[in-house]
Amino acid sequence: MTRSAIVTGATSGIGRATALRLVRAGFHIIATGRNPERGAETVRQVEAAGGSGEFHSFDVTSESDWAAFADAVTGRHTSVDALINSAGSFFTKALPDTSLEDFRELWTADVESVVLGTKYGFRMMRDTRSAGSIVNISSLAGLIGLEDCAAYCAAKAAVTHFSRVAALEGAQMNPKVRVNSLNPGVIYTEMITHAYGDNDAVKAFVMDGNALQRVGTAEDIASAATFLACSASRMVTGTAMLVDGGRGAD
Amino acid sequence: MTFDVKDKVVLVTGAASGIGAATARLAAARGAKVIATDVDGERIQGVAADCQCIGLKHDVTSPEDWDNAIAAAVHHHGRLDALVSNAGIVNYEPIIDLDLARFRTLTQVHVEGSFLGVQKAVAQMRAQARGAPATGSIVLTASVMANCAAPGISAYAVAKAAMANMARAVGVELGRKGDMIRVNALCPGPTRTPLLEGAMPPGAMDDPAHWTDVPLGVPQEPEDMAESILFLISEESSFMTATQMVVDGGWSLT
Ligand SMILES: NC(=O)c1ccc[n+]([C@@H]2O[C@H](COP(=O)([O-])OP(=O)(O)OC[C@H]3O[C@@H](n4cnc5c(N)ncnc54)[C@H](O)[C@@H]3O)[C@@H](O)[C@H]2O)c1
Repeated sequence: MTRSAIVTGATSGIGRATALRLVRAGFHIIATGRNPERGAETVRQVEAAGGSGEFHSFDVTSESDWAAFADAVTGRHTSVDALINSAGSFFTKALPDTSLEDFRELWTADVESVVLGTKYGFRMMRDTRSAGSIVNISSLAGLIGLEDCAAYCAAKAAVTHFSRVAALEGAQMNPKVRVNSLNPGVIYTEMITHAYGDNDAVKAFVMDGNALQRVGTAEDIASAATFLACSASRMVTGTAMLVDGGRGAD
Repeated sequence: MTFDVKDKVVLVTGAASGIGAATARLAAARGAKVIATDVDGERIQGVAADCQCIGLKHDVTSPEDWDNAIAAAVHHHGRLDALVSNAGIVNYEPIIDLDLARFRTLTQVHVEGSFLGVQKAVAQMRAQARGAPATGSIVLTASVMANCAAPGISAYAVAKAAMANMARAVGVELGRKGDMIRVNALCPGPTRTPLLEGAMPPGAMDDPAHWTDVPLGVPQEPEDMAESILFLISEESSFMTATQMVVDGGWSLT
């Protein structure tokens, strides 16, 4: 029986890289995102990598969208073995310039999306009787401070701690579902280049903060997400797995 | 689904039993070149025979034994890619009864043992890099007790906290010096090994009631720790350093 993995935000960055890495672990890929063209490109890359995939376009901040998606998935698939909640958003802004609307927008995109994803992930895993693994992509910023990023840090701290409590609930299910947060340091994806620009100075800045003198890549996070999704991490639940090149340690 | 460790030269201490033996076995099964060492020079030969790898008597508190172990890796395989500093002992005793000699023995095995291992492994990894940035992965088997507490194991908790923060401090230092040598701590929760069994009433380990404290509700096996250790050795974790990886079935959540 083919195992399947859902990846939100699979139209770019960490989400797309994770979908491609999960193919090599033998998962059928259920990719989601808002942009159908980029979704089709992810499925094309999944197939080129020798895997199978499908794309569902929906808004991860909408509960009715999640409900419809969950029905579609459980109607079509006999197991839901992994869910990677990777969709999210970022901005950098000093607190005096951050409006309540700005804050709410980020909270909805980063926290509500993960709360809904975990809730419907639990339902899909329950309904298909799958001992699944949910991986919520948080951030190093959920564990330490980042200048001019109060809204983002607060949202990612919420995701990290929410995941710990969700792990306790998942452990009550039968079969049990694991939940972990994965906390990347600065990873060179569109999320960073949109906010800071894409050039050597930004790269050097990103690298300089790491203990390991290199830039973090989407593939680094994809590997860790795959570890958390598969049975090699059978006893790992409720952790915040840090993949940050040592950035947060000093 | 496995993470590639093929052909990596991996030195595992405390490998005659429990987590170390499971790590040596799994690494060997996946094509790594293993040097399995233990203070118990007889039992280590049994593990080495299973793994078809080199087995050495090696007391981790002895600098000379470390030199021998690393020399063996270089002699047989030309280099050292990874060190798993895993040898350990435990002592259940209220602080008020704990004498200084036993406290010292505990910190010697875990803290001094890991310190010597890190120092000697890094020296070898730098030497074999011949001027290029050195590469390698070092995993220190700490414990959830690095960040938690239980009555009667204060000395062990102190030693494990030292190991966990050694990984953090050394990881930062090596990275900042331009090396690509990574240092991470594995923090296992209660795991079904002779170390834990020795501390429990007979038969308790196989009693499901004992594991109800663990949210995932099943005993953690040494192989579960081995899987995480091999992930930390593989190139797929090459952006991880100075971290603590907790594998405890959710034990430390509440
Ligand atoms: N079992 C658990 O619940 C648990 C939990 C957290 C951490 N750990 C840690 O995991 C590591 C492995 O423990 P285990 O459970 O596999 O125990 P174990 O007793 O099965 O194996 C430990 C091995 O270390 C060896 N050793 C002891 N002192 C040594 C020395 N001076 N030099 C070389 N070897 C020495 C022993 O001979 C033994 O073979 C230890 O560091 C332990 O503290 C274990």
